[in-house]
Amino acid sequence: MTPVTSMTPEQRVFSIHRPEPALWKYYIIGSLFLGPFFFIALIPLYFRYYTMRYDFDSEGISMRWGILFRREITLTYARIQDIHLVSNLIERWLGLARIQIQTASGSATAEMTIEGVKQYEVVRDYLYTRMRGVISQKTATSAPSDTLHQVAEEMRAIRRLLGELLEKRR
Amino acid sequence: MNGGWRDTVLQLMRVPRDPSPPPGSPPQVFRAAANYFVLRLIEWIAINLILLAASLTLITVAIGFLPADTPQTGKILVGFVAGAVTLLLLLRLTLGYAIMRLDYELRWYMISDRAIRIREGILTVREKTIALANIQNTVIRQGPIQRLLGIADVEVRTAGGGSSEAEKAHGQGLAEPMHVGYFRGVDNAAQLRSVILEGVRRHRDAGLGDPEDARHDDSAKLLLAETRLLREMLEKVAGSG
Repeated sequence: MTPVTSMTPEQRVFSIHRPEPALWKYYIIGSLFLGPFFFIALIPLYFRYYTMRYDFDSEGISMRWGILFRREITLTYARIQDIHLVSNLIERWLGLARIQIQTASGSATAEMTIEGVKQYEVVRDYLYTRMRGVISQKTATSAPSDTLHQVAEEMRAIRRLLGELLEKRR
Repeated sequence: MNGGWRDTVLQLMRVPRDPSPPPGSPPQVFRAAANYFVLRLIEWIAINLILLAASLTLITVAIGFLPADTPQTGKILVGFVAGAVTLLLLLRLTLGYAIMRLDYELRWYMISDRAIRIREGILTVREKTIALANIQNTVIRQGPIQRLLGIADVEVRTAGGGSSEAEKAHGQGLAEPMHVGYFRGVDNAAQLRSVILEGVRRHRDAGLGDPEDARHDDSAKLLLAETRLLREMLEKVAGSG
């Protein structure tokens, strides 16, 4: 217990690589709703659960799964636009929630859904501190106009120097 | 008595009580207006009346068309089915009411100086966090019944998709569009919107950003003036040399 609490939120997020076993339980319960045909849904979900990997690094997240048809999604924190936390009744019973991540792309569904994480609030808050509109703010407002001002200052200095040169010549 | 069933249901459904505030300053909290519950109640009564009427006519028709020489077991079966349907309807009635009431009570619309957080839902709990800097526009919607009740829905939109199909499905309660945050049933929509827009205005690069020309205009003019003076001076130097 102590090592987890002593870690910074960033370290806690970076240490997530596999979904919790509770996700597999959730898949089983979800597929039972199909009755006798539960295995049709369960087999792909089994492979999805066992091949699912997360990689959080300092720039972005990548998530991959699949055996026959592999899929890997990578996105950078700076492009994240909305973060939604969704949980239905069964997920709450198992202590899970889905983190739906949106970029500004055209798709109507979530770009990436992080499933099977019990520290979902920590992940959500960490992603929030890194997302679009939160970090870009400070740099975006000051930098470009500042540089232009500096260029103007430089030009003024050059003019003064040339003026002095002109005086000397006379 | 009042808190009893609430706590039981919330415990059973594992609904987290209060959402944590969004990042930024302590948020302003808006809640759904009391008339929003009235609106939901009207919808609920209408739907259940239709269902009740439909199932009652179905049962009477079934009993009325039963041939006179039906064996005893057949009559029992029909009676059993009718009873089951009534029971299901009653269950739906009470459960639907409880969820509707809790859905109204457990709604949070929080606005800080940096983000909006909307928490809603009972069966499916949704917590949307939208940074003010990412907001593109806001929409206020009001239907005729909502106008009578003095409430409205405020929508906050961010950039990106959300096909019309997703919104249509949302109208039927099937799916939730991803790039929209809904403040449902507020009685101070105009005030809410001005709070949001004020927040958005503080973020100069809100949405996908404004044209940057205006911002750099002063510096650019200064630069132009300096450059022009410099050229004139150089012309003089060249002329005298």
